[in-house]
Amino acid sequence: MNPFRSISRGAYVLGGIALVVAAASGAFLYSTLQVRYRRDISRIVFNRNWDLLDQVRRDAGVTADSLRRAMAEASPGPDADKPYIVVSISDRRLWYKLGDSVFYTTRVAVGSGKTLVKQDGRDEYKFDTPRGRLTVQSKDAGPVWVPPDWHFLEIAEKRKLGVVMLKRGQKVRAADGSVIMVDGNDVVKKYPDGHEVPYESGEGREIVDGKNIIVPPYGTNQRKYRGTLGGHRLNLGDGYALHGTDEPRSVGEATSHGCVRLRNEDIDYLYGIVPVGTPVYIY
Amino acid sequence: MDEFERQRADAILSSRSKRLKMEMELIRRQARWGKEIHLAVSVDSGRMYLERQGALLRSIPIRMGPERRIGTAPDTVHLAIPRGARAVQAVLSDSDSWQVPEWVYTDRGLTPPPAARRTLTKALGPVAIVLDGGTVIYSLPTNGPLNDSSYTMPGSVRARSEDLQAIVPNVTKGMVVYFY
Repeated sequence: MNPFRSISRGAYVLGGIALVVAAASGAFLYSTLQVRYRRDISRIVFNRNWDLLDQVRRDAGVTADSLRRAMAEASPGPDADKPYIVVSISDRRLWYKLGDSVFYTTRVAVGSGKTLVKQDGRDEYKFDTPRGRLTVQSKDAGPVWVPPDWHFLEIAEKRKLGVVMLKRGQKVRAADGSVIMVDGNDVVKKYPDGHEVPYESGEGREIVDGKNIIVPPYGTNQRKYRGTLGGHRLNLGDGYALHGTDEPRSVGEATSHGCVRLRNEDIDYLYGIVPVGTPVYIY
Repeated sequence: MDEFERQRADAILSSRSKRLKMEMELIRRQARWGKEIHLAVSVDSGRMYLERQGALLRSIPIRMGPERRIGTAPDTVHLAIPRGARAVQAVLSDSDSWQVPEWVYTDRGLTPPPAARRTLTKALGPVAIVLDGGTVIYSLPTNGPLNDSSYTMPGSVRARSEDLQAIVPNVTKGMVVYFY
Protein backbone atom coordinates (compact mmCIF):
# COMPACT_ATOMS: atom_id res chain seq x y z
CA MET A 1 0.00 0.00 0.00
CA ASN A 2 1.40 3.34 -1.01
CA PRO A 3 1.06 5.93 1.88
CA PHE A 4 1.35 8.88 -0.55
CA ARG A 5 -1.62 7.63 -2.57
CA SER A 6 -3.69 7.35 0.65
CA ILE A 7 -2.84 10.99 1.63
CA SER A 8 -3.68 12.29 -1.87
CA ARG A 9 -7.10 10.56 -1.77
CA GLY A 10 -7.74 12.18 1.64
CA ALA A 11 -6.90 15.60 0.23
CA TYR A 12 -9.34 15.10 -2.65
CA VAL A 13 -12.10 14.13 -0.23
CA LEU A 14 -11.41 17.18 1.97
CA GLY A 15 -11.28 19.47 -1.05
CA GLY A 16 -14.62 18.06 -2.25
CA ILE A 17 -16.21 18.63 1.16
CA ALA A 18 -14.86 22.19 1.19
CA LEU A 19 -16.39 22.85 -2.25
CA VAL A 20 -19.77 21.48 -1.14
CA VAL A 21 -19.67 23.65 2.00
CA ALA A 22 -18.71 26.73 -0.07
CA ALA A 23 -21.57 26.09 -2.53
CA ALA A 24 -24.05 25.59 0.32
CA SER A 25 -22.81 28.80 1.97
CA GLY A 26 -23.24 30.70 -1.29
CA ALA A 27 -26.78 29.40 -1.72
CA PHE A 28 -27.56 30.23 1.89
CA LEU A 29 -26.18 33.76 1.49
CA TYR A 30 -28.22 34.29 -1.72
CA SER A 31 -31.44 33.10 -0.08
CA THR A 32 -30.68 35.29 2.96
CA LEU A 33 -30.32 38.33 0.69
CA GLN A 34 -33.62 37.51 -1.03
CA VAL A 35 -35.40 37.16 2.30
CA ARG A 36 -33.88 40.46 3.48
CA TYR A 37 -35.00 42.18 0.29
CA ARG A 38 -38.55 40.87 0.73
CA ARG A 39 -38.46 41.90 4.38
CA ASP A 40 -37.38 45.43 3.48
CA ILE A 41 -40.09 45.71 0.85
CA SER A 42 -42.65 44.41 3.33
CA ARG A 43 -41.52 46.97 5.86
CA ILE A 44 -41.93 49.71 3.32
CA VAL A 45 -45.41 48.44 2.48
CA PHE A 46 -46.44 48.16 6.10
CA ASN A 47 -45.17 51.64 6.71
CA ARG A 48 -47.67 52.67 3.98
CA ASN A 49 -44.82 54.27 2.11
CA TRP A 50 -46.34 53.59 -1.28
CA ASP A 51 -44.40 56.24 -3.12
CA LEU A 52 -41.08 54.84 -1.97
CA LEU A 53 -42.25 51.40 -3.04
CA ASP A 54 -43.19 52.76 -6.45
CA GLN A 55 -39.75 54.37 -6.64
CA VAL A 56 -38.07 51.03 -5.77
CA ARG A 57 -40.12 49.34 -8.46
CA ARG A 58 -39.25 52.01 -11.00
CA ASP A 59 -35.54 51.83 -10.07
CA ALA A 60 -35.60 48.05 -10.32
CA GLY A 61 -37.38 48.29 -13.66
CA VAL A 62 -39.97 45.86 -12.33
CA THR A 63 -42.85 47.89 -13.69
CA ALA A 64 -43.42 51.08 -15.66
CA ASP A 65 -45.15 53.92 -13.88
CA SER A 66 -48.74 53.43 -15.00
CA LEU A 67 -49.65 57.10 -14.50
CA ARG A 68 -46.71 58.32 -16.56
CA ARG A 69 -47.47 55.73 -19.22
CA ALA A 70 -51.11 56.83 -19.29
CA MET A 71 -49.93 60.45 -19.58
CA ALA A 72 -47.77 59.54 -22.55
CA GLU A 73 -50.67 57.70 -24.19
CA ALA A 74 -52.98 60.65 -23.64
CA SER A 75 -50.64 62.96 -25.49
CA PRO A 76 -51.82 64.98 -28.48
CA GLY A 77 -52.51 62.94 -31.59
CA PRO A 78 -51.05 63.57 -35.05
CA ASP A 79 -53.77 66.15 -35.81
CA ALA A 80 -52.83 68.30 -32.81
CA ASP A 81 -51.26 71.09 -34.84
CA LYS A 82 -53.76 70.98 -37.70
CA PRO A 83 -56.54 73.50 -38.16
CA TYR A 84 -60.14 72.38 -38.16
CA ILE A 85 -63.61 73.69 -38.91
CA VAL A 86 -66.46 73.76 -36.40
CA VAL A 87 -70.08 74.33 -37.40
CA SER A 88 -72.77 74.94 -34.80
CA ILE A 89 -76.18 74.05 -36.16
CA SER A 90 -77.86 75.81 -33.28
CA ASP A 91 -75.87 79.04 -33.68
CA ARG A 92 -75.77 78.79 -37.49
CA ARG A 93 -72.13 79.78 -37.36
CA LEU A 94 -68.83 78.39 -38.63
CA TRP A 95 -65.39 78.73 -37.07
CA TYR A 96 -62.05 77.93 -38.66
CA LYS A 97 -59.72 77.18 -35.75
CA LEU A 98 -56.34 75.95 -34.64
CA GLY A 99 -56.36 74.72 -31.06
CA ASP A 100 -58.36 77.28 -29.14
CA SER A 101 -57.58 80.13 -31.57
CA VAL A 102 -60.11 81.25 -34.14
CA PHE A 103 -58.78 82.17 -37.61
CA TYR A 104 -62.11 82.99 -39.14
CA THR A 105 -65.77 82.89 -38.22
CA THR A 106 -68.92 83.65 -40.13
CA ARG A 107 -72.64 82.96 -40.24
CA VAL A 108 -73.97 80.06 -42.26
CA ALA A 109 -77.26 78.53 -43.34
CA VAL A 110 -77.90 74.97 -42.21
CA GLY A 111 -80.44 72.24 -42.95
CA SER A 112 -84.07 73.21 -42.55
CA GLY A 113 -85.03 69.98 -40.81
CA LYS A 114 -88.05 69.72 -43.12
CA THR A 115 -89.15 66.49 -44.74
CA LEU A 116 -90.35 65.72 -48.26
CA VAL A 117 -92.16 62.54 -49.22
CA LYS A 118 -90.39 60.62 -51.97
CA GLN A 119 -92.06 59.92 -55.26
CA ASP A 120 -92.91 56.34 -54.28
CA GLY A 121 -94.82 57.71 -51.29
CA ARG A 122 -93.21 55.20 -48.93
CA ASP A 123 -90.08 57.03 -47.86
CA GLU A 124 -89.07 60.62 -47.29
CA TYR A 125 -86.14 63.00 -47.57
CA LYS A 126 -85.02 64.74 -44.37
CA PHE A 127 -83.18 67.98 -44.89
CA ASP A 128 -80.85 67.93 -41.88
CA THR A 129 -77.23 68.96 -41.69
CA PRO A 130 -75.39 65.85 -40.45
CA ARG A 131 -73.76 66.04 -37.02
CA GLY A 132 -70.36 64.47 -36.41
CA ARG A 133 -66.86 64.55 -37.84
CA LEU A 134 -66.56 64.97 -41.58
CA THR A 135 -63.53 65.86 -43.68
CA VAL A 136 -62.91 68.24 -46.55
CA GLN A 137 -62.52 65.62 -49.25
CA SER A 138 -62.06 67.90 -52.26
CA LYS A 139 -62.44 71.51 -53.38
CA ASP A 140 -64.10 72.98 -56.49
CA ALA A 141 -63.83 76.37 -58.11
CA GLY A 142 -66.91 77.36 -60.10
CA PRO A 143 -68.89 74.38 -58.87
CA VAL A 144 -71.76 73.04 -60.91
CA TRP A 145 -74.77 71.88 -58.96
CA VAL A 146 -76.39 68.67 -60.14
CA PRO A 147 -79.77 68.91 -58.44
CA PRO A 148 -80.97 65.69 -56.85
CA ASP A 149 -84.49 64.41 -57.49
CA TRP A 150 -85.81 66.16 -54.39
CA HIS A 151 -85.22 69.54 -56.02
CA PHE A 152 -87.77 68.73 -58.73
CA LEU A 153 -90.16 67.03 -56.30
CA GLU A 154 -90.10 70.12 -54.13
CA ILE A 155 -90.98 72.37 -57.06
CA ALA A 156 -93.71 69.95 -58.13
CA GLU A 157 -95.18 70.02 -54.64
CA LYS A 158 -95.11 73.81 -54.46
CA ARG A 159 -96.66 74.29 -57.87
CA LYS A 160 -99.01 71.30 -57.70
CA LEU A 161 -97.39 69.62 -60.69
CA GLY A 162 -96.97 66.01 -61.68
CA VAL A 163 -93.47 64.60 -62.08
CA VAL A 164 -92.12 62.94 -65.23
CA MET A 165 -88.68 61.34 -64.84
CA LEU A 166 -87.36 61.63 -68.40
CA LYS A 167 -85.10 58.79 -69.54
CA ARG A 168 -82.70 58.69 -72.47
CA GLY A 169 -84.52 57.31 -75.51
CA GLN A 170 -87.87 58.28 -74.08
CA LYS A 171 -90.14 60.74 -75.91
CA VAL A 172 -92.69 62.78 -74.02
CA ARG A 173 -95.40 64.26 -76.19
CA ALA A 174 -95.94 67.92 -75.31
CA ALA A 175 -99.28 69.73 -75.37
CA ASP A 176 -98.32 71.73 -78.49
CA GLY A 177 -97.62 68.60 -80.52
CA SER A 178 -93.86 68.73 -80.13
CA VAL A 179 -91.78 66.03 -78.39
CA ILE A 180 -89.51 66.42 -75.35
CA MET A 181 -86.53 64.09 -75.58
CA VAL A 182 -82.80 63.78 -74.95
CA ASP A 183 -80.49 64.42 -77.88
CA GLY A 184 -76.83 64.04 -77.00
CA ASN A 185 -76.31 65.87 -73.72
CA ASP A 186 -79.33 68.13 -74.06
CA VAL A 187 -82.98 67.84 -73.30
CA VAL A 188 -84.60 69.28 -76.42
CA LYS A 189 -87.97 70.18 -77.73
CA LYS A 190 -88.38 68.61 -81.18
CA TYR A 191 -91.03 70.22 -83.35
CA PRO A 192 -93.08 68.40 -86.06
CA ASP A 193 -90.97 70.07 -88.76
CA GLY A 194 -87.90 68.34 -87.31
CA HIS A 195 -86.05 71.26 -85.78
CA GLU A 196 -84.87 70.99 -82.17
CA VAL A 197 -84.53 73.64 -79.46
CA PRO A 198 -82.52 72.73 -76.36
CA TYR A 199 -84.01 73.80 -73.04
CA GLU A 200 -82.24 76.32 -70.85
CA SER A 201 -80.78 75.15 -67.56
CA GLY A 202 -80.56 76.67 -64.14
CA GLU A 203 -82.60 77.32 -61.05
CA GLY A 204 -86.03 78.69 -61.95
CA ARG A 205 -85.69 77.37 -65.49
CA GLU A 206 -86.96 73.84 -64.84
CA ILE A 207 -88.80 72.19 -67.70
CA VAL A 208 -92.53 72.35 -67.19
CA ASP A 209 -94.94 71.02 -69.76
CA GLY A 210 -98.61 71.51 -69.02
CA LYS A 211 -99.23 70.08 -65.57
CA ASN A 212 -95.95 68.18 -65.31
CA ILE A 213 -92.39 69.00 -64.39
CA ILE A 214 -89.90 67.11 -66.54
CA VAL A 215 -86.89 65.83 -64.60
CA PRO A 216 -83.86 65.71 -66.92
CA PRO A 217 -81.69 62.58 -66.65
CA TYR A 218 -78.30 62.82 -64.93
CA GLY A 219 -75.52 63.82 -67.32
CA THR A 220 -77.61 66.21 -69.39
CA ASN A 221 -76.84 69.92 -69.47
CA GLN A 222 -80.31 70.67 -68.12
CA ARG A 223 -79.31 68.84 -64.91
CA LYS A 224 -76.30 71.11 -64.36
CA TYR A 225 -76.88 74.46 -62.61
CA ARG A 226 -74.11 77.04 -62.68
CA GLY A 227 -73.87 79.82 -60.13
CA THR A 228 -76.31 78.27 -57.64
CA LEU A 229 -73.48 77.23 -55.29
CA GLY A 230 -71.47 80.45 -55.60
CA GLY A 231 -67.84 80.54 -56.64
CA HIS A 232 -66.40 77.69 -54.58
CA ARG A 233 -67.30 74.49 -52.80
CA LEU A 234 -65.59 72.32 -50.17
CA ASN A 235 -66.94 68.78 -50.51
CA LEU A 236 -67.57 66.79 -47.34
CA GLY A 237 -68.75 63.53 -48.90
CA ASP A 238 -72.19 61.91 -49.20
CA GLY A 239 -73.42 64.91 -51.19
CA TYR A 240 -72.80 67.37 -48.33
CA ALA A 241 -70.62 70.44 -48.79
CA LEU A 242 -69.71 73.90 -47.63
CA HIS A 243 -70.61 76.18 -50.51
CA GLY A 244 -71.69 79.65 -51.56
CA THR A 245 -75.14 80.68 -52.65
CA ASP A 246 -77.20 82.72 -55.06
CA GLU A 247 -79.50 83.55 -52.13
CA PRO A 248 -77.26 85.45 -49.69
CA ARG A 249 -80.27 86.48 -47.59
CA SER A 250 -80.73 82.85 -46.56
CA VAL A 251 -77.39 82.82 -44.70
CA GLY A 252 -78.02 82.71 -40.96
CA GLU A 253 -81.22 80.72 -41.39
CA ALA A 254 -82.11 77.02 -41.28
CA THR A 255 -83.08 76.82 -44.93
CA SER A 256 -80.66 74.53 -46.75
CA HIS A 257 -81.24 70.93 -47.73
CA GLY A 258 -78.40 69.73 -45.49
CA CYS A 259 -75.35 71.51 -46.88
CA VAL A 260 -73.69 74.36 -45.03
CA ARG A 261 -74.29 77.49 -47.07
CA LEU A 262 -72.03 80.54 -46.76
CA ARG A 263 -71.93 83.99 -48.30
CA ASN A 264 -69.91 83.88 -51.50
CA GLU A 265 -67.12 86.10 -50.13
CA ASP A 266 -66.76 83.77 -47.11
CA ILE A 267 -66.52 80.56 -49.12
CA ASP A 268 -64.12 82.25 -51.55
CA TYR A 269 -61.84 83.12 -48.62
CA LEU A 270 -62.10 79.68 -46.99
CA TYR A 271 -61.42 77.99 -50.33
CA GLY A 272 -58.06 79.73 -50.35
CA ILE A 273 -56.97 78.81 -46.83
CA VAL A 274 -58.61 75.47 -45.95
CA PRO A 275 -56.60 72.47 -47.17
CA VAL A 276 -58.12 69.18 -48.31
CA GLY A 277 -58.16 66.77 -45.36
CA THR A 278 -59.25 69.39 -42.84
CA PRO A 279 -61.60 67.89 -40.23
CA VAL A 280 -65.06 69.46 -40.04
CA TYR A 281 -66.91 69.02 -36.75
CA ILE A 282 -70.62 69.69 -36.99
CA TYR A 283 -72.62 69.77 -33.76
CA MET B 1 -43.09 62.37 15.64
CA ASP B 2 -39.35 62.88 15.30
CA GLU B 3 -37.67 65.02 12.67
CA PHE B 4 -37.02 62.08 10.34
CA GLU B 5 -40.64 60.92 10.46
CA ARG B 6 -41.87 64.48 9.91
CA GLN B 7 -39.66 64.84 6.85
CA ARG B 8 -40.84 61.52 5.54
CA ALA B 9 -44.49 62.46 6.10
CA ASP B 10 -43.91 65.77 4.27
CA ALA B 11 -42.24 63.95 1.41
CA ILE B 12 -45.15 61.53 1.11
CA LEU B 13 -47.70 64.37 1.19
CA SER B 14 -45.75 66.27 -1.42
CA SER B 15 -45.52 63.16 -3.57
CA ARG B 16 -49.27 62.55 -3.26
CA SER B 17 -50.01 66.14 -4.12
CA LYS B 18 -47.85 65.83 -7.24
CA ARG B 19 -49.60 62.59 -8.08
CA LEU B 20 -53.03 64.22 -7.70
CA LYS B 21 -51.94 67.05 -9.99
CA MET B 22 -50.71 64.49 -12.49
CA GLU B 23 -54.00 62.64 -12.28
CA MET B 24 -55.95 65.84 -12.94
CA GLU B 25 -53.65 66.63 -15.85
CA LEU B 26 -54.17 63.10 -17.14
CA ILE B 27 -57.96 63.54 -17.02
CA ARG B 28 -57.62 66.88 -18.82
CA ARG B 29 -55.48 65.30 -21.54
CA GLN B 30 -57.73 62.26 -21.86
CA ALA B 31 -60.65 64.63 -22.20
CA ARG B 32 -58.93 66.84 -24.76
CA TRP B 33 -57.77 64.01 -27.00
CA GLY B 34 -60.72 61.65 -26.56
CA LYS B 35 -61.81 60.23 -29.92
CA GLU B 36 -65.52 60.41 -29.18
CA ILE B 37 -67.45 63.60 -28.63
CA HIS B 38 -67.62 64.40 -24.92
CA LEU B 39 -68.02 67.11 -22.33
CA ALA B 40 -65.21 68.27 -20.07
CA VAL B 41 -65.75 70.42 -17.02
CA SER B 42 -62.81 72.48 -15.83
CA VAL B 43 -63.84 73.07 -12.24
CA ASP B 44 -61.21 75.68 -11.47
CA SER B 45 -61.73 77.78 -14.59
CA GLY B 46 -65.52 77.57 -14.44
CA ARG B 47 -65.96 76.36 -18.00
CA MET B 48 -67.42 73.34 -19.71
CA TYR B 49 -66.14 72.23 -23.10
CA LEU B 50 -67.68 70.20 -25.88
CA GLU B 51 -64.67 68.48 -27.42
CA ARG B 52 -63.61 65.78 -29.81
CA GLN B 53 -60.10 64.63 -30.81
CA GLY B 54 -58.45 67.85 -29.69
CA ALA B 55 -61.03 70.06 -31.40
CA LEU B 56 -62.78 72.52 -29.15
CA LEU B 57 -66.35 72.66 -30.42
CA ARG B 58 -67.85 74.88 -27.75
CA SER B 59 -66.70 76.60 -24.59
CA ILE B 60 -69.48 77.23 -22.07
CA PRO B 61 -69.30 79.36 -18.93
CA ILE B 62 -70.64 77.45 -15.92
CA ARG B 63 -71.23 77.77 -12.22
CA MET B 64 -70.05 74.87 -10.13
CA GLY B 65 -72.12 74.08 -7.05
CA PRO B 66 -70.12 74.09 -3.80
CA GLU B 67 -69.24 71.12 -1.65
CA ARG B 68 -71.84 70.61 1.04
CA ARG B 69 -72.75 68.10 3.74
CA ILE B 70 -76.47 67.57 3.51
CA GLY B 71 -79.03 65.81 5.68
CA THR B 72 -79.30 65.68 9.44
CA ALA B 73 -76.79 63.88 11.62
CA PRO B 74 -76.09 61.02 11.69
CA ASP B 75 -77.79 60.51 8.32
CA THR B 76 -75.67 62.88 6.24
CA VAL B 77 -74.07 62.76 2.83
CA HIS B 78 -71.13 64.79 1.65
CA LEU B 79 -71.72 66.20 -1.82
CA ALA B 80 -68.27 66.70 -3.27
CA ILE B 81 -67.29 68.55 -6.41
CA PRO B 82 -66.99 65.75 -8.95
CA ARG B 83 -63.57 64.79 -10.30
CA GLY B 84 -62.72 62.14 -12.84
CA ALA B 85 -65.04 60.68 -15.45
CA ARG B 86 -68.82 60.38 -15.23
CA ALA B 87 -71.32 59.05 -17.75
CA VAL B 88 -74.55 60.59 -19.01
CA GLN B 89 -77.56 58.74 -17.64
CA ALA B 90 -80.35 60.80 -19.17
CA VAL B 91 -81.11 64.00 -21.03
CA LEU B 92 -84.19 65.78 -19.74
CA SER B 93 -86.24 67.96 -22.06
CA ASP B 94 -88.86 70.47 -21.00
CA SER B 95 -91.55 67.78 -21.00
CA ASP B 96 -89.67 65.48 -18.61
CA SER B 97 -90.24 65.66 -14.89
CA TRP B 98 -87.60 65.39 -12.19
CA GLN B 99 -88.02 64.82 -8.49
CA VAL B 100 -86.28 67.61 -6.63
CA PRO B 101 -84.44 66.00 -3.68
CA GLU B 102 -85.73 66.86 -0.25
CA TRP B 103 -82.34 68.20 0.82
CA VAL B 104 -82.52 70.94 -1.84
CA TYR B 105 -85.50 72.48 -0.03
CA THR B 106 -83.76 72.10 3.32
CA ASP B 107 -80.56 73.57 1.94
CA ARG B 108 -82.54 76.55 0.67
CA GLY B 109 -84.31 77.00 4.01
CA LEU B 110 -87.66 75.83 2.59
CA THR B 111 -90.04 73.27 3.97
CA PRO B 112 -89.90 70.20 1.72
CA PRO B 113 -93.30 69.25 0.30
CA PRO B 114 -94.35 65.58 -0.04
CA ALA B 115 -92.54 63.55 -2.70
CA ALA B 116 -95.41 63.79 -5.19
CA ARG B 117 -95.28 67.60 -5.11
CA ARG B 118 -91.53 67.59 -5.51
CA THR B 119 -91.77 65.96 -8.94
CA LEU B 120 -91.77 68.87 -11.35
CA THR B 121 -91.40 69.46 -15.06
CA LYS B 122 -88.67 71.94 -16.04
CA ALA B 123 -87.35 71.77 -12.45
CA LEU B 124 -83.83 71.79 -13.97
CA GLY B 125 -84.64 74.34 -16.67
CA PRO B 126 -85.73 73.69 -20.24
CA VAL B 127 -83.02 71.08 -20.73
CA ALA B 128 -80.72 69.17 -18.37
CA ILE B 129 -78.18 66.36 -18.39
CA VAL B 130 -78.26 63.82 -15.56
CA LEU B 131 -74.98 62.03 -14.81
CA ASP B 132 -74.25 58.96 -12.76
CA GLY B 133 -73.37 59.68 -9.17
CA GLY B 134 -76.22 62.20 -8.88
CA THR B 135 -74.52 65.12 -10.60
CA VAL B 136 -76.72 67.17 -12.92
CA ILE B 137 -75.85 69.77 -15.53
CA TYR B 138 -78.79 72.12 -15.61
CA SER B 139 -79.88 75.66 -16.36
CA LEU B 140 -81.88 78.17 -14.38
CA PRO B 141 -85.50 77.00 -14.20
CA THR B 142 -88.50 79.32 -14.11
CA ASN B 143 -90.20 77.35 -11.36
CA GLY B 144 -89.32 75.22 -8.36
CA PRO B 145 -86.75 75.65 -5.59
CA LEU B 146 -83.83 76.00 -8.03
CA ASN B 147 -85.29 79.17 -9.54
CA ASP B 148 -82.70 81.43 -7.94
CA SER B 149 -79.74 82.72 -9.93
CA SER B 150 -77.67 83.07 -6.75
CA TYR B 151 -78.02 79.37 -5.92
CA THR B 152 -76.29 76.47 -7.61
CA MET B 153 -77.08 72.96 -6.47
CA PRO B 154 -74.12 71.54 -4.49
CA GLY B 155 -72.00 69.10 -6.50
CA SER B 156 -73.75 70.04 -9.75
CA VAL B 157 -73.14 72.29 -12.73
CA ARG B 158 -75.30 75.18 -13.92
CA ALA B 159 -75.00 76.62 -17.42
CA ARG B 160 -77.01 78.92 -19.66
CA SER B 161 -80.01 77.20 -21.22
CA GLU B 162 -79.08 78.35 -24.74
CA ASP B 163 -75.69 76.65 -24.36
CA LEU B 164 -77.26 73.42 -23.15
CA GLN B 165 -79.85 73.52 -25.91
CA ALA B 166 -77.05 73.90 -28.46
CA ILE B 167 -75.18 70.83 -27.23
CA VAL B 168 -77.90 68.36 -26.17
CA PRO B 169 -78.59 67.02 -29.68
CA ASN B 170 -75.02 65.68 -29.47
CA VAL B 171 -75.37 64.25 -25.96
CA THR B 172 -76.27 60.58 -25.76
CA LYS B 173 -76.71 58.16 -22.89
CA GLY B 174 -73.33 56.82 -21.82
CA MET B 175 -71.38 59.79 -23.17
CA VAL B 176 -68.38 60.57 -20.97
CA VAL B 177 -68.21 63.80 -18.98
CA TYR B 178 -64.77 64.56 -17.55
CA PHE B 179 -64.31 66.68 -14.45
CA TYR B 180 -60.88 68.06 -13.67
